[in-house]
Amino acid sequence: MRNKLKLIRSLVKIALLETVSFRLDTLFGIISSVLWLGIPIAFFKVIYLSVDTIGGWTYKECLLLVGVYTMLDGFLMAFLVKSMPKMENDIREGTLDSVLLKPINTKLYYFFSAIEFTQLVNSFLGLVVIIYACQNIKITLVQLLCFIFSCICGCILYYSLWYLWTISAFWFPTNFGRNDLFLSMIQMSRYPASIYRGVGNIIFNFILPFGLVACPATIILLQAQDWQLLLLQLLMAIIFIFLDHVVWNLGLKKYNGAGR
Amino acid sequence: MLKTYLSIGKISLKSILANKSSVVILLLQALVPSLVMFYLWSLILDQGQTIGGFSKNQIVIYYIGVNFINSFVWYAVDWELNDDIHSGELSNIIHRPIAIEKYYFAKMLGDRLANLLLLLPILVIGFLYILLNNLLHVSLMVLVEFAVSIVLSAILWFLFSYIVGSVAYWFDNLFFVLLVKEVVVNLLAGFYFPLEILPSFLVKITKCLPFQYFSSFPIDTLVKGFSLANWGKNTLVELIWAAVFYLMVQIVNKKGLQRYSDVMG
Repeated sequence: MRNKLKLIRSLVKIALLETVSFRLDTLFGIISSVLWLGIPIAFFKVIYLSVDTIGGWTYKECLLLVGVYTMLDGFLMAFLVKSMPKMENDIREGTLDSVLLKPINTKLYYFFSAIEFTQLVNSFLGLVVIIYACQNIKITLVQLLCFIFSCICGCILYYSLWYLWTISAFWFPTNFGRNDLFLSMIQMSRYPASIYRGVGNIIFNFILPFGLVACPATIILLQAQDWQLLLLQLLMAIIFIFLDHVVWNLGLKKYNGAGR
Repeated sequence: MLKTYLSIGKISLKSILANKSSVVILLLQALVPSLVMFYLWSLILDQGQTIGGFSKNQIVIYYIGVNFINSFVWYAVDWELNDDIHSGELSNIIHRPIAIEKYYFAKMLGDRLANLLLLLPILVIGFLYILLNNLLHVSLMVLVEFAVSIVLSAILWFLFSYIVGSVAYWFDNLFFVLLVKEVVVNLLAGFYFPLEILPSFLVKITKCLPFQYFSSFPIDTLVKGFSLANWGKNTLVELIWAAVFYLMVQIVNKKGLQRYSDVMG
């Protein structure tokens, strides 16, 4: 355990040095955080000029959802935005061997190997929006604890979805914007899950549970009594952790290190 | 010389077509965001309202349109140039008797042609569905205008992205610079939402910038239809922007190559 922590500390240190080495890029990283948050807010603001609710969600509630999504997204993007493409590249090019041989869990290595600290600004700004949107909402301690728990489950789902999508490169290797597709899909999490009807509800809330990343945590803050959604989110998170494990092991069996 | 560039384009096309997974990714990239927007806007405009002059059908077609245009037009030449400059890969290109910008343009043509071939069946089915269900009224003239707009937007997009990618000659790491560029361009090109739904003063500002020609203008040509004079005026402005960007490409190429060193860019 102590060795693992030591390795993680070293990886974080390297990532931090890399972040501060490129000042222009760091500056633009912060600008991107502001834009990342500003665009969905502007989007909803413009829509709410014409309507009062979207699928039962008011503007303030959507703002809270955007805040929760941005906070989770910023946190996970910091760890994954560079490491997932790196992992995909290693699988595709056959250079995963060097990582598998390292004295550290492979998932852990990728998680900490290329942290992008500027993305944490995004997370902080998301928190600011949450606090602003919660101004007139009375939140109990139980609600707050459930909210934190739901955020953790949301993070697990976010990570799992990206991870599964990345390791699908074991079977479907391509240099054709795999991560771009994920990044465009994960943005669905900032829309209310209730917009999906019929088949869309099954696809986006169960098969690809983007609707369960940020929505349950937001609903818990808005409606304290909505326990079912939290349980569903927990169940999906457990299923996806299991899937991650199984698919990774199957992928390793398929991997031959030859590259494509 | 043309034969050389045709070969570059052909290789680029083959490399996309060789990978069957690319087809799935391309399809998902074009379809999934459109599907989500369909659900969202169906809910917003479910009682015959309009927003920014768009009815429910029009806005859904708009989103499908911008996502498909994204597949045909938006080639990431800036990311490629950034990688090639920093990895030193650019040396392989500058040592050949070819112009750098033409090399990348030929690559883009091959790549986009592959996308067009892959998505063609869906495009044809989708377009027939739209026409047969009277969701859109399109004349032959509008189709020609639309096709010309798409070609011009691909050229304009290439020139603009090439200029942005060339910043890599001067700076070491451009990951977030390029990401910010993408977000800003997506916003101002009308990729996130139609520019017409913005407040009028913002619409006026966006109409003065070249970004609307990347996706908003071609898709508006199809969905809303412009008078020939209006379309012609806009196309002329687009051509002027393309000429300005072309000059800038020549300048950044010249200045950038003076700074470029063979050791890892």
